[in-house]
Amino acid sequence: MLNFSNVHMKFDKDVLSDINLNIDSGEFVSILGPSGCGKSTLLRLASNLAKPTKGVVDYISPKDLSIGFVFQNPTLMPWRTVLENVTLPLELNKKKFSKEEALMWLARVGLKDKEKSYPNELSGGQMMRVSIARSLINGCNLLLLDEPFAALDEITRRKLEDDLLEIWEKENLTVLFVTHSVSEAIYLSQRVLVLSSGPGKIVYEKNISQYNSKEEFRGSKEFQAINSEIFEKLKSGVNNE
Amino acid sequence: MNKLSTYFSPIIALFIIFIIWEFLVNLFSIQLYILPAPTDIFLSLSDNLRELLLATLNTLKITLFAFLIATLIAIGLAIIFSLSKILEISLYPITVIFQVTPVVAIAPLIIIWVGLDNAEMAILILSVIVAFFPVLANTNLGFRSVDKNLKELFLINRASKWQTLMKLNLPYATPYILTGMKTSIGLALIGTVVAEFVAGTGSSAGLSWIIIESGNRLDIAKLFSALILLVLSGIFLFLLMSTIEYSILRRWHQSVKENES
Ligand SMILES: Nc1ncnc2c1ncn2[C@@H]1O[C@H](COP(=O)(O)OP(=O)(O)OP(=O)(O)O)[C@@H](O)[C@H]1O
Ligand SMILES: [Mg+2]
Repeated sequence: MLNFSNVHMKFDKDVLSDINLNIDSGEFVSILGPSGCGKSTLLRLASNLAKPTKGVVDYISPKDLSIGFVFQNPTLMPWRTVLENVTLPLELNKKKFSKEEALMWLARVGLKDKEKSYPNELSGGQMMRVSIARSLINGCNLLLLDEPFAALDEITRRKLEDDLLEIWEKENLTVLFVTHSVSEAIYLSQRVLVLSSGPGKIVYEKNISQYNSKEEFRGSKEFQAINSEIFEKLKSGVNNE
Repeated sequence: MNKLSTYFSPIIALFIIFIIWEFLVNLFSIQLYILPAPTDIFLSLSDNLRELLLATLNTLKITLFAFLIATLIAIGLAIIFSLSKILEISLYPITVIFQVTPVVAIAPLIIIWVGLDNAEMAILILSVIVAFFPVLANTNLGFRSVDKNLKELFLINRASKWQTLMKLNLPYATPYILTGMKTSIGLALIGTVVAEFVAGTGSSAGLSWIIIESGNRLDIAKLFSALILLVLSGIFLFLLMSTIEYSILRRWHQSVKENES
């Protein structure tokens, strides 16, 4: 699906260095790392919004590529209602305006009754959910999420995590998921990457074996073991600075 | 402060000033041709009502027309600048020249160019020149301030330039454009009045002409009535723009929301 080879990214100083990463079609990959280590930058490289200073980012089949991006902040258009924000990608791609589809996605993120509200009438978490609905409506195949659930309460968060997993399976998406929560990364993904800071490097990679029941997995000893293992790596990554 | 008192306090203050004014004029028996009492002014206003209102309407007509043209030109230029960096850096400084040159200085030139018998056209052009810059500068600023992530969202969805302009840049810049328009509408009135002054007799239809003429005849009461109508026109135009701004931004913009609560 997506391939990084020897990618370096430099702004004022080196932000990412020596990133080699291959993401297969249909994979769910999470990225963990300390604040400022270059996670958002990595996503922007993955979506071609930024060009790497060195190295290449390429896609297996660029023609069929359709990207959904959930930014770290909600990035809504304040002059549009919630519903109109969600339908934006359809408008831009000249697809048939489908109010039903938008309402369906809004219902899925638990915002059915907010369709006529304006963004400044929503809470931070609600805005984020609108942003998630918007990223999914266009039927993308590569979904990039930048800490999408950071502003949500535990209950909504778990519900949306499960929804995301369901959508991922059903729509056959490839997902790149940035988060600060170690357990969220383990719970959701097939592979977890840990970035160190200054400059960001992939210092650790862990494949997560898949359980039949995710709930069971969350309670298992193995989950705990992976959790503390990754936590240690994160800590040493920070110390690199 | 409740709403009522914000509206009525200035009116009451003005009323008190009028009473003191009336009292002082009578006390020192000041001549009519130096400072008329408010009652004299209102008498003159009602005596000359038809002529004064026609002149006001004429001035307002040119002002609004000039304001609309200025707004369209300014937004159009800002759009062109946003599409072409090279045009922006070559033309923007030239628009600044228009902005910094006093309108009285270029008025004679414009009047000669369009012909003395075409005074209204000359006034219109001068008023447009005075009024367009704030809209241009603010629209430009609005386009530059567009949220980076929103731009990226449009890029990811492969939006065309036209879509980005219509669905992102223009709506995003709307509060900026309206701020520019609020400044511009006042400038358009000033531009029209100054241009009328310079154009002089040829135009003879606007408020400026009444001010010149009654000044020459030392009819200070009539001069004051024309001034009052001019002030009222200015207030009317400003309120008009504020109402438009409010009705457009009411639902979504912070500036309006905060004033409400
Ligand atoms: N456009 C830019 N210009 C200059 N420096 C930038 C730019 N974008 C990011 N940076 C720098 O790159 C580094 C990584 O930023 P990035 O946003 O990728 O971090 P992050 O890992 O997403 O952090 P967080 O977890 O806090 O969101 C930071 O030091 C930041 O200052
Ligand atoms: Mg980030």
